[in-house]
Amino acid sequence: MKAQLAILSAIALLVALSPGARAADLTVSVRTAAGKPVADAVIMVYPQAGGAPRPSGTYRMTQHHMMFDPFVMVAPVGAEVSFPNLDTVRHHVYSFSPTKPFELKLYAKGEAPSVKMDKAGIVALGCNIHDAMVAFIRVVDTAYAAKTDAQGKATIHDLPGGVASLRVWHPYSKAKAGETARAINLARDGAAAEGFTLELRAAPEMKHY
Amino acid sequence: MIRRLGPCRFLAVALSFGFLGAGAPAAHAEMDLFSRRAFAGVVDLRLATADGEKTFVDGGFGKLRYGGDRSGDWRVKAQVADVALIWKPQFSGAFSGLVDVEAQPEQRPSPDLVQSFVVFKPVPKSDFRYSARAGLYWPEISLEHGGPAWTVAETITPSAINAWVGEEVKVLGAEAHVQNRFGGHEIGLTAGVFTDDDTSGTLLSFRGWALHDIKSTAADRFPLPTLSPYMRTKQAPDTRSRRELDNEAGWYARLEWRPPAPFSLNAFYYDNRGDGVSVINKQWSWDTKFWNFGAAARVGDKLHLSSQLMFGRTIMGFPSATGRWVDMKFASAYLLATREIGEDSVSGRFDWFETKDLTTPQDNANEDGWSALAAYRHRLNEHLNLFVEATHIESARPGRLYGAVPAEQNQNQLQASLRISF
Ligand SMILES: [Cu+2]
Repeated sequence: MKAQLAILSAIALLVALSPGARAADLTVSVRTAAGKPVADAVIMVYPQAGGAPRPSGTYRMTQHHMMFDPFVMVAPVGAEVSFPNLDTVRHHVYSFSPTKPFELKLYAKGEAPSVKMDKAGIVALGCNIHDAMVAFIRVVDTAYAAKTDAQGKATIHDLPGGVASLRVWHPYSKAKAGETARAINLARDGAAAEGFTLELRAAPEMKHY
Repeated sequence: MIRRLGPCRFLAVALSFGFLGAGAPAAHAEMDLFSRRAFAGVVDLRLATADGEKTFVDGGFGKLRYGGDRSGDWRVKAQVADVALIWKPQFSGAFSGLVDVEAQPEQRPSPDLVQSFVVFKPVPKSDFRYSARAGLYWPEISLEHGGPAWTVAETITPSAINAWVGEEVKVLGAEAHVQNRFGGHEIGLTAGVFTDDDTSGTLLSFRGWALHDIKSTAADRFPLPTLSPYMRTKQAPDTRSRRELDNEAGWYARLEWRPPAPFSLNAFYYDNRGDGVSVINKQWSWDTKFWNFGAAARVGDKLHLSSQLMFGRTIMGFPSATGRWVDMKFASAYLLATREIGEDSVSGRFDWFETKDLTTPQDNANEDGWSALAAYRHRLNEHLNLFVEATHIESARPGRLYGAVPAEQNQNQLQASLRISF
């Protein structure tokens, strides 16, 4: 009985001490200098311990009311992103971003062609029929990525402790390549919080018909 | 030579470009000529009432689509204001076309061809992109019109500027567009050459500015109000919108700037290079030139502002002791504010307009006036929008006296429109 307790304690201690065995939650809030929350900022954490992404679930970039939805999507490397057309009109979606140049030629309602995102980076989307349609896919090569909500907040769960690089990207950020980075040191457990202030250029004025 | 082909040539020119496109190597899946999606349409059911002077539609000097009864009291009219059937063939991924045939009760012939053009627009491979268009179309001037049937987006009635564009600035032409992006700034340049817009200026001179949503067609005639005794012997009592009379091509150019900020600016210049004296059946070639400046801005999330300023000059006729028969400067501006309310919108617009006659006192083309408009658009569903609109207009035009109408006129108009798109 005592021996069993000792073994269990030893295992518990080992689990507690081994890196990544206990996980931390990181909440990042992004605001403008004026204090307004910034939605659609992509938070990426690269722990020294690593952590490759595992594509799971479905990645849908819909077209509805002549707009892409979502405006910003986070997708792991290897994700198969589908482009369902929910409009009665045809769309002709393309990207000339070096990350993933592609073209989905004229497809109708009910069709949902898909594209495999095989490289990390930014994929800016457009529609050759509707110039006002704009959206972005941020393809990430870390398992720890999320996008800020309307309150400008995103929480990344189950992060391994230790040193990590924290990066924030937004399509309209004035920072170089739209990205701001800093090094953080995460405790082995508990909850951590980080804040970012981004300078954004205004979204362009689109024809609203 | 080309003139003898008649109005059918608009269709012929556009289609020949289209088949050129279809002949280009294209994957089968990209071609869509006759599926359901290649067709669209708009039906406008209208209930309107107005007081004041007789509308120009009925040969009066009235500046709105509807007018009062004989004594200037409110008159009610219900009509199918527009039926548009649109064919949007896709010849390949880059080549598409548009043919728009519309029935408008005020137009003769009706139905008639309203637009017919082909577009070459390859998918961009970089921030630099280009496209081209040829056929019968409106050059990009209006910030109010959009959609395949060239309908007004947020109101029933377009501004004075864009109502005139709808009447006398449609061309049979070809244009090229290039666009590039530099550090978030987008610069676009469009240049075009055209024929068949020689009569441009006729309505603006003899009737003046107007605010209505009747679109010119390929073979139509707009009625003119009673002309001055001086002009009555020279000009036909109506004007053909699409005529090439002097066999000189006109040109236009447009520059647009979209900065990384919630506004955009554009400048447009037009010169139909009419000689002012070529004439067939009392339809004259006018020498019309104008500038149009446009600005659009978004304030916050829900408020859109747009504004255009147009000014130019139109000249017609032979030299006389007092100058050319018509030599007139024209100018107009509007400010439109639209606020989104859920899927609905409420709009307000103020229009100002003026013409200045520089010649022949026997034919007075001076006018000045303004208009205020309020409109509400209620989206019922994907296919149905209900518009309600109120317009007030005041103008002074000494030339109304040629029709025994007092020079100064005030008018009110109320309209409801159910716009069905499919
Ligand atoms: Cu589209």
